[in-house]
Amino acid sequence: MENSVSEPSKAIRQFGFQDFGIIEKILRNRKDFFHEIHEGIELPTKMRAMFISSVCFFALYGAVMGSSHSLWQTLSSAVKLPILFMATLIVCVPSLYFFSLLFGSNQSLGQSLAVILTAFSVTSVLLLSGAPITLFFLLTTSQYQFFKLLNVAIFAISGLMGIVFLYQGMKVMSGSEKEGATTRKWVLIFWMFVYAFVGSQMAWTIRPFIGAPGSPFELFRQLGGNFYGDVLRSLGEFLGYLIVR
Amino acid sequence: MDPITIDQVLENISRRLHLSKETETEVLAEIRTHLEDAVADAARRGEDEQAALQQAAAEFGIEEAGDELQNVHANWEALGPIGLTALPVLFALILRWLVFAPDGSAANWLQVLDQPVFLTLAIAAMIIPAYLLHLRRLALVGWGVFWLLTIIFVVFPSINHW
Repeated sequence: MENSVSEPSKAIRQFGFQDFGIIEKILRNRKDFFHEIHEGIELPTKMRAMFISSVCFFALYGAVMGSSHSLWQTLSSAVKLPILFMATLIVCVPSLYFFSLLFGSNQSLGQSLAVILTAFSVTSVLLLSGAPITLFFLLTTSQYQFFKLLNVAIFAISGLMGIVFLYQGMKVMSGSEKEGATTRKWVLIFWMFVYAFVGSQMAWTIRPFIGAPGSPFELFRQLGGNFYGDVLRSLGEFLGYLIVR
Repeated sequence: MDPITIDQVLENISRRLHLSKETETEVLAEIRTHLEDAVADAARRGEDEQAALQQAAAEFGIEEAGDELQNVHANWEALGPIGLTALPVLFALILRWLVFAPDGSAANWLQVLDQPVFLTLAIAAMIIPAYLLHLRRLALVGWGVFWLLTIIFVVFPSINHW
């Protein structure tokens, strides 16, 4: 039967745009998606699609962040943001996999990776949805600290939603494995905190993503201080600025 | 074989679809037309309508068709919103760093229109969504956003104000 309703063009397949369709499946039909991961159905295809989508969305958001400073910062942030998430993934996946294994999980490393990539895909598409907002404030505000805090807020919300997805996914995946289920749940919660700390420290290590106004372009800044201290400092400066004005 | 109705066939397909209501309604309406045509043809030939419907449903393959429609349209549905979000942002970044001066200052209208990069971008903003992705409505919206961004950049000649 010929189907004429919103038929996709060959270009979508030719240029690999169909990989972005994975986002729709994750968001609209997550339960079946996690079941398919659990059953190992088309795992490499899914992982490739999620990886490509996430990298593209992270890169675009990174470029928006960096465009407040200079062209080099734009390009640098477009490359560094996907690296940030993928490096965090590489650092954190083994701990989740081996601890889950220790407490009775029968997931493979590929399945653990796929579930985490699902979380990344959700985070990345939410960041993409925040890109027009970031761009709007980039055009209309002149406050560096505000722009920094705005990005921290967008990352926090998107990251949290990704983590919620990860939790749901792990619950579906371990639904039939009763032995050690409670311990695995606590391992997962503990791991989520580890993931957040590793992610924020990784971001701090490979900063800047926005670039301080008036300063020349830097690929990496000197180590020192920490992410949380800087957020508090920015918050203080931003609120102080408001009070003075 | 138990008698079936077109509504039952559609309901079975619908159970396998996880699309937006709008797309699902469109897809099911098209399948309904196909099944009704098959039944009407059988009636014209003097054949049993129920048998014709059973045969049409079997040929159609409810499970396979449901899964296939789901795959095709789910991929398709995601591209619209993603493109609608990503393309204007991408155009804004290109406008920011390629068309205008590195310090963010914009040239006057005539100078902007004279830039080959700008003209290429203006054409790409229409052609990519309209002809490569077959997203004609998106192409029009993207085209509008592209010009809106251009006006914003020209009206606010410097965004490098930090």
